[in-house]
Amino acid sequence: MADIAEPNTNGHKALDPVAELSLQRRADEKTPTGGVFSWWFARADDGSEIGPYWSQARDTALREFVWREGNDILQGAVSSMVKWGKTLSWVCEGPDRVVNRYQSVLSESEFGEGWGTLVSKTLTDYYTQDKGASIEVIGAGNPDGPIEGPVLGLAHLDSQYIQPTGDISYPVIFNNPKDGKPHRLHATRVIRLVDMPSPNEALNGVGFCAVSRVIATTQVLLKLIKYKNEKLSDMPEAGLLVLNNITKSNWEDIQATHQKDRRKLGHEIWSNIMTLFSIDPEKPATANFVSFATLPDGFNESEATDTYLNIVALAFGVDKREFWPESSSGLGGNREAAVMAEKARGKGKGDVIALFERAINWKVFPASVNFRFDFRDDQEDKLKAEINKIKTESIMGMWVKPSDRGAGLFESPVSRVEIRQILADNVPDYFKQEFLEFDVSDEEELTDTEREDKSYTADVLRMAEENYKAGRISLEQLVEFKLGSILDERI
Amino acid sequence: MSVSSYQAGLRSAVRGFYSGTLTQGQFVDALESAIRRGLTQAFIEGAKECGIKQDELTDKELDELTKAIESEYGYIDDFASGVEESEKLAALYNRLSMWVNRYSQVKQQASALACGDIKKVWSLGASEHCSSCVRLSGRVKRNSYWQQKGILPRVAGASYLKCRGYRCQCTLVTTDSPISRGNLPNLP
Repeated sequence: MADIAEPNTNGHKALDPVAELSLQRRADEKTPTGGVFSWWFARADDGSEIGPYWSQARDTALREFVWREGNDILQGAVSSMVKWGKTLSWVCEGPDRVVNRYQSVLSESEFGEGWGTLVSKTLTDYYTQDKGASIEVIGAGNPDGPIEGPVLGLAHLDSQYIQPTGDISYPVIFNNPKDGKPHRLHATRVIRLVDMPSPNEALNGVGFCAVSRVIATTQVLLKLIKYKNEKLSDMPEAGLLVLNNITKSNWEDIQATHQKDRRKLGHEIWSNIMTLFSIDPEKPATANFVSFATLPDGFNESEATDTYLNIVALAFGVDKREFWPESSSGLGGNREAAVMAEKARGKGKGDVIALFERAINWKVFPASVNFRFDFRDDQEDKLKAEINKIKTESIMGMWVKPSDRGAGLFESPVSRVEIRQILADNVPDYFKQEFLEFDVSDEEELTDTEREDKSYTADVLRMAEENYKAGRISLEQLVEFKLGSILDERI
Repeated sequence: MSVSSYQAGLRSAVRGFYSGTLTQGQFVDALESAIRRGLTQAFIEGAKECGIKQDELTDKELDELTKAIESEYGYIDDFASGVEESEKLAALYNRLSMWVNRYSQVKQQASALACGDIKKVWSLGASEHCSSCVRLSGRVKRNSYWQQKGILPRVAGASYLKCRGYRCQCTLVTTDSPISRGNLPNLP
């Protein structure tokens, strides 16, 4: 297998060798790939219908759909998720000088408006657009080519101007609204965050966003709100009016008189009383109204809202309580709530966290700096402690104390050195690499800064370990030397 | 970093070579690395006692540091032979104490050099200031720098000051502020 370079800055260096090995059409830079050619022209008059999956018109309609009047719960859900993302604190780890530089890249992103604005716009697109969100990675070099040198800034790209291409070198075309010209963006110059990217190659990585997943249910709720509005309004709702003992001309006269009185009285909102008189006293005039819109049998608004909230929570991959306070205890106590929140964090929120962390680490930060969200709380710490406990017990299960071995009948399957190495590799929260006398694995575990902090002894230990790995000295020699060095440090 | 960790580093290299864990080449590399890092650290610590930071060391001081390091390098081969011939590690550690003592010596040497050449800032006096003194105000340089350039306050007839120094009330005051970057401004 050919060597694939480790990911370096901007993701560019690692991309090329993989692209050369791939059989896919999109990996071939010489083969042009176009946009998604799906168009849809028909729409319902009330604007409630959304284009079929997928077309540019669908994303435009989705954006309008979310912000429609009456779509309160969905708007609240999007807002809730966006605010959650904005308030996540993050950590950059690495050499001081480099960290300081890249911290300002994030803090001063969005042309100085800051990280919060960038996240807000990005998450809004991520949750409401099938194309997902795009972020421009700003840096030196030919604008048509890869970034040269370090990343200098980040800025959100309005999704409506983005056209996915499916090309791995130039994944999107940005239709610049300033000059109306299309501008292809190199892979190192754009970050795409897409919810559920389609496996259909023809769709060029278009996904299926959270709002897309609740269209049908939301439309029902919108109709319900419309129904309630009509019921509460003084104006007649759509329906069939059956009049008895009133002639058509009588009815038209009454209507005209009513309208005239309204104008005379200056009524714009509230209507005055409309009066019907029977022609024949023997046969009283009656008016029966049959509404076109009726609620389904057994309809309960509270239950319908609750069901809708559950569906929205499902679409966003979070617990319902993210959007709506739980008023009853029907779903269980605190323990269940904690478990549900934990599970939810592993889905929708976990996905967003992972997408951002990977994007920043891969396309913005150099290899020596690590970006992560610092969103841990007590519940997570507790869960982690429980996992560590299980790991530790499993590992220590392989260890048999010398006093329990009994005349060589029960040999320990692993040595003391090995058990310590396994602990350091698997339970690093408690058993740190520094606790090891030496590292028998070939894994790199130190950063530049950590190396600087190592004592003079570290150089010598490294040489000794190299000798052991090269077979020049035995394990016993190495252990004896290390123990001696520890004593030397203490005397 | 301190003299104790310097000692531990040297001992570790000696133990490694003595026990056969390290080759002679690795022993020399380890000792050179420890000496270079250790004595540099000692020099920085010494200079810091008089407020001089690492990047404020003069060329003369850096030369002294290099001399001290290279002097130690000159004894490594002999010491390697001594390790090969020695039968007791304790004897080698005893000999090593002389090497360890160099840490304190270098630190004292740096302190003496730095304290004899402290940083001074040009401070305006209580009089009308000429444009030259205003430009020099706040400049921090090592004392040797001011002397070497011959830019001093209150020197009667000073051609480098607009005021010619006759009524100059400026002084060079000892300071811990960082050294001013670049050359002095054009005078007078």
